[in-house]
Amino acid sequence: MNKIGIFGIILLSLVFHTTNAQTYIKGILLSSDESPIQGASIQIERSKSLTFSDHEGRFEIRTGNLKDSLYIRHLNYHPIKVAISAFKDTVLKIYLSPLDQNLDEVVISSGYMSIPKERITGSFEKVDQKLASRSTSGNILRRLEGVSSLYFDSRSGTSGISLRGRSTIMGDANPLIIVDGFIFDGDPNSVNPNDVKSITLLKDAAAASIWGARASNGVIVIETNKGRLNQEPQIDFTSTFTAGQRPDLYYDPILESPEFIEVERFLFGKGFYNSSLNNQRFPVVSPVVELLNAQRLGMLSNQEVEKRLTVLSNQDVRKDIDRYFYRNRIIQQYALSYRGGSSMYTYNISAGWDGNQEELKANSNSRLTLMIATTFKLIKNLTIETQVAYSSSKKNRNNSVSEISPTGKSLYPYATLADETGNPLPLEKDYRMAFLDTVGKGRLLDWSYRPIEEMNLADNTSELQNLRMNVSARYTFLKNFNIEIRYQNESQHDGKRQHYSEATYTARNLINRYTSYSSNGLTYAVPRGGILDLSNERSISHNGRGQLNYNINWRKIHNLTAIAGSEIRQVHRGGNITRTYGYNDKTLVFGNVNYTDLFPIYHNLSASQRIPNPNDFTDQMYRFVSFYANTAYTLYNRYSFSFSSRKDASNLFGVNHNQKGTPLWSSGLGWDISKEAFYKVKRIEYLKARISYGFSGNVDNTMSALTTVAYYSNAPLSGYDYAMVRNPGNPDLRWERSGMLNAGVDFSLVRNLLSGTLEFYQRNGTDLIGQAPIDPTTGVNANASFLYKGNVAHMKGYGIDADLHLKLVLGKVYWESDLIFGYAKSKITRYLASSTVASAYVNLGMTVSPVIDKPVYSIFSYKWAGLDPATGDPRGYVEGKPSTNYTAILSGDPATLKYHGSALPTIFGAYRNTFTIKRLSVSANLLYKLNYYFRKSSINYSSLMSNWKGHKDYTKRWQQPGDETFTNVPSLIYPNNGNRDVFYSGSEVLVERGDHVRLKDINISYQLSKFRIYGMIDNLGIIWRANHSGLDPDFFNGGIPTATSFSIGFKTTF
Amino acid sequence: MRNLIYFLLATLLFSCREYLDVKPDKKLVVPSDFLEAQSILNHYLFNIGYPGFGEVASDDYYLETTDWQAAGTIAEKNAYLWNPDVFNASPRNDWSFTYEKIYYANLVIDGIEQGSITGSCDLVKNDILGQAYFFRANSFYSLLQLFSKHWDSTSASKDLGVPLRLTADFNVKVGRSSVEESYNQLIRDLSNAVNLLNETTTAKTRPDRQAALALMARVFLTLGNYKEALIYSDRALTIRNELTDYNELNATLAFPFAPLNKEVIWHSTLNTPRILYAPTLKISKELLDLYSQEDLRLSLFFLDNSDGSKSFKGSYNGSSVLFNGLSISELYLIKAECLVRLGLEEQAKETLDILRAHRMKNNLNSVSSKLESSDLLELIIMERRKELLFRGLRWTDLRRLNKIPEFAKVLERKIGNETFTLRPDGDRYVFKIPEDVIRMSGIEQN
Repeated sequence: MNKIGIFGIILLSLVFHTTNAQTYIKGILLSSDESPIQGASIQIERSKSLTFSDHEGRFEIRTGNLKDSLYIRHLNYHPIKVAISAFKDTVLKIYLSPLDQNLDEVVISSGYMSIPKERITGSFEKVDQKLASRSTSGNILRRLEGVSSLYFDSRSGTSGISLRGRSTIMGDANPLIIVDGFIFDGDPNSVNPNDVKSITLLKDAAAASIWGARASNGVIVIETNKGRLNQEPQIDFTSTFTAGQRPDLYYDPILESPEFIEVERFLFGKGFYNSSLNNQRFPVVSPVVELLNAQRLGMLSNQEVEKRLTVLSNQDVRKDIDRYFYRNRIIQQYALSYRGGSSMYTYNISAGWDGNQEELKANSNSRLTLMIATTFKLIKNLTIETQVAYSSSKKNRNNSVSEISPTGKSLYPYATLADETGNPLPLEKDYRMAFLDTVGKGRLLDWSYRPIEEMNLADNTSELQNLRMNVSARYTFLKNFNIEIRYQNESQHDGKRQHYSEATYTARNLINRYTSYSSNGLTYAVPRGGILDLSNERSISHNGRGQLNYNINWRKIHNLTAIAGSEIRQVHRGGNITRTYGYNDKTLVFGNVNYTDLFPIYHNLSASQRIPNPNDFTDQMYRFVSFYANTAYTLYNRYSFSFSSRKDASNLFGVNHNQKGTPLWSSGLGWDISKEAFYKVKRIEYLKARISYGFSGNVDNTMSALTTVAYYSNAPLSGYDYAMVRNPGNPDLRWERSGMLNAGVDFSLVRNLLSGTLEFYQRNGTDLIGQAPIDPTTGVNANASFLYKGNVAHMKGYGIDADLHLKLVLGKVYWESDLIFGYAKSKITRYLASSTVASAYVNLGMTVSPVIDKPVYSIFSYKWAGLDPATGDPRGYVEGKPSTNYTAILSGDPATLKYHGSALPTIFGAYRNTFTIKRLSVSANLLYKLNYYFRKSSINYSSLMSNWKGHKDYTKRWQQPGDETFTNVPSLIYPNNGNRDVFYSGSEVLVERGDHVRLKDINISYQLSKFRIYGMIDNLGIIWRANHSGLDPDFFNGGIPTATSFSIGFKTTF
Repeated sequence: MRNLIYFLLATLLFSCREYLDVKPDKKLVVPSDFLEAQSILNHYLFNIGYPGFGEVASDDYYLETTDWQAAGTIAEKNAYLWNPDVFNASPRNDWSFTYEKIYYANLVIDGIEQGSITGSCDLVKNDILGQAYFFRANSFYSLLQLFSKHWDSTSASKDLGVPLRLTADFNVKVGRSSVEESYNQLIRDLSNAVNLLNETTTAKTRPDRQAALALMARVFLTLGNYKEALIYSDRALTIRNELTDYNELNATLAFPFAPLNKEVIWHSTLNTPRILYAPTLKISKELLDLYSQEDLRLSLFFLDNSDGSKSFKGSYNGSSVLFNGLSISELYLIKAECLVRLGLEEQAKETLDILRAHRMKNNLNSVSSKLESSDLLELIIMERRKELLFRGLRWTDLRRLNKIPEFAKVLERKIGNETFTLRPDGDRYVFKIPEDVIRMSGIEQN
């Protein structure tokens, strides 16, 4: 644990004792502040005998050959060879240079104060630059996956990260991000990972008591590079090139063309499409239905229809989609930095550029980052620091594969996007193709939709700029005091531009719809020309802080660090969306529209409508005032005590002034047992125990005690402004409260062979804000689902975090093995007003299913009684008997449901092995997620019929009596029963274990003196899974697993 | 130094209050003045989404078996066949939508009564309160048509009405009142509205006094109180009585009637299930046969489907979404019916003639002057059916006319070879309350 060195100066003192032919060499490794260096390996070159320095830096080794040399190695320093003869009977000082100039004593920074890790009582986890640069991702948070205890929920449709599971039900579960001492309001993507010096995770109650209510899910403290006083100028240059494979579109279990056509023919025969075919509004019908209709009307012969259907059934649109919409992903990253310092000032200047050609054709993004950080020591007691960081991220979003399907439907699998020669072909979008062919009579703009053309015409760009400036002054006085004033201004501007030229379908469709024809000719309510949508979002935050620091180290017995301060913070967000019709990008002319009147829609395709007006404005202002105090006291370098507390007040709406703030606190004790005189366990060189407890609160700022309404413009018909209830007043609204206990040990044993941290935590949340169904008769309609939000739940959570490092030298191979282990369990202990209907609890595990004594996210299912042998109907249980009364099953007692388990892994983490042979290092990282369940998708006949969304399970459906012995897929029936689909989708036969192990990456690097070259293979895929369906549990319900990518790059320092 | 810290802290604390009183979002308010209360009542929810399943269960249309089979929701399928399981598939249904309107109205009524919404102008206050009372009354009335038995003076004090939620506080529990109490409450609300509302308003999405009077007439007709219904329809017609001459309309339009047209007193629409759209909705032959060839409504109300059947395009909403607001034409029909029931045949004929003149080619008014009283009543009721179709009124008319043996009717549906019937005294004239409501509130099911 104690691999400590200050500025890389190592004092090596060796004392020789000679006995017989053997020589004992004894020594101590110390750093400049006389703290010992632990865990260095000392090897005699020829005899290969080996030892390690202990926690006091001592080592002892025996040699028979005085001409031999010592080879001293430490993970963080350049290895050094020392001839034994060179210091016979003398004390030799050897200066080692650290591998990384930034290497510091392991100091934990909470963002407000930094203290050595030995004095910590709470749960802090540090990820250093080396570990964070193992991954080549351009996103700093992504780089933490697999190297920290941060959990990434990568199930389709989610992108949350969390520390120690969920502590909240409704609220945002993402940890708070701090960059250089202030809350970061911007997009985490605008931080260049190459600028990051270290990352600290705050996991226990101290997070909130230090950073306030918003930090109750933990905090990620990011510190960027700075220059150091008296540092030689240093230039770093990094470049990485990444190429990614195309995603496997065939992973998606769609219903393929022959079966899809079979279903369409079946439905056609039943008259399912009659109302669409007769509809004067001409809704989309598929080519197969169109063919069958032509056959029915006698317009096509039976042979001709069969011939065409055969052609269609041999087509697979995924081939075209892959060909025309996807490509290999290519990323380039470059980063350059220059830093150094004199006795008066320091500087760090860096620049980075990333370019990403995305796997979706015509989509790309790039990022430019610039940063300048300086420190001036103006007079003896006054230090001024300044920092300016700028980033600009540009995006092109022109790929249109997500819009390829007809509105409200999935694309039929036999579609073709281009003919043999590659000419784009039209697809159905909003109306029936046969109608579009004749409707215009040459008067209208072409009304067909050609997906490939749309991609080439698309002109959608965005730029996100983030500028962060901060300045701080620190004045030292009375020896142990200093006062610090800091100010930061962060502004972010996100500008989006979507230009639909007149050639695009979006513009043509809108113009055509609002065209009217009379004897006088055509009139265009939506003017000819393009449509330009501009949106701007601005956020400006001001942060000010005044802080008094006190630091005393008295006779090396008492060591006290105390800070107190206050903080003021304002975040102002504003935005607008504007649309311009009739826009011409070449001449910048534009047209006028009438937003007030109703216009008839061409060919009576719908009732008269107004011209769409998406204009919108937003203006939000959040203010916070906080007071805080933190202290850390250590006695005899052994006993540590810490206390922190904070009170936040904000301009929360609809809450009385005195209810706007709440005090948060945490306190902890630490005890370095191995420093005690009585401690005699030789094998465990270092052992520290610590415990902390704290109390935090949180409030959902979308809620208030008073009824609030939100204003909207242009009510339909009247055009009046109107107000909608945003938040039904809840006089009983209280703060969420949560207490967290954390107990841990840090240890290192057998000469640092194994070191690590073990932590146990328990969390008790009361009055958590959740949604509860409310009697619709009250009329309260939050989010249109008759749920109300309130303090409805109590929750208990506990878990174990472990972080183990094994270091071994096997001959020439240096082996490091790192295990990150997380165990997190939570259960709801009380929930007011839960739903009494079974179906309210059956979901995909991404929404809350509140059941007492069960996790917040759980998988419940309907019990399965097999398929009905006579009909192939899926059966559940009603009053203990097999039944097909789906209404009764769905609305049954929730207690009849089968509980599988948590929908989130309760055991998760990473296992990383690194082998270093001289300068070559190879490392592989496994991610594991265990002990959870997921619900896989299957055929849903309602979706198949109405939305054309099929599933290959259709081919396994029950077709005749006897099939029920080998399949659980229900038969196809007509008319369909929607509840039958709901039951089957939620039944236990579709629940699988989610446990899996994934080979996240393999990393190879080779270190030359000032030059490191590395290669990386990312996302190698699953190597073990519990489910037998071959599914990736992160992509079980639509979505395609991330493809493997390959990177190569180098870093040089000179 | 310590003094400096104290000073800094004190300054911060002192200015803290003002600093934190800034509104976090300019779009958000806690309603406190009349303008804000009016904005709540401007919400379009008061103009859309009134209970529509009565229309699904009514007899002015039929579905082809294939279309019934292909229907999107179980609610539509079941309501069409008068099966009881209609409102259980989704919490977003006729019950909850209507109680949401009551909640919004109660927000304003509570706010003004409890003094959290204040202002200086009593005229404005009265008008706002009047609107809120109107909306609440109309919502209670709509609910009673679906979820309670039809008014019967012999049992109204025992028949189950609807929960009368008179406050926005969702912690208050309310059980079901009797049908009598329910109507008493909504009539009280409506009389308040009549007294408080402005005579005219700026937009027909907002009720004015005429709207309250017209609704009062509708309610009293439902109750069979023809005297009161006549008084209120008369009072309403003295404010404005202009009808649209259908000769001036263009029947080739997809929807010949513009929203908020001249005849509309107050605009609202039904929660219109998809099967009531063209072309699945097919007008029953029995209804089509009632129209003479001179009747302009034949071409203005009905859309020709490609299979020879007809769908409906006559909504005063100018779309497939059905209008169920108040109109001048309804007032004429209420008035005519009340007159004949009160024995004033001549005046009844005159009233009917005014309406018919606006509906027939060349403004023919063809009511013979030699009709018997009972034939005249039948004629007026037939005229009512021809004029006020797909306005959510037919269901109530079926319920009230079933009480009169001559008008009572057995409804029939055919799906495949199966026939379903609803007898005049059938239980299914009262819809089941959604099961989730029953479970959560503990109120009695029908």
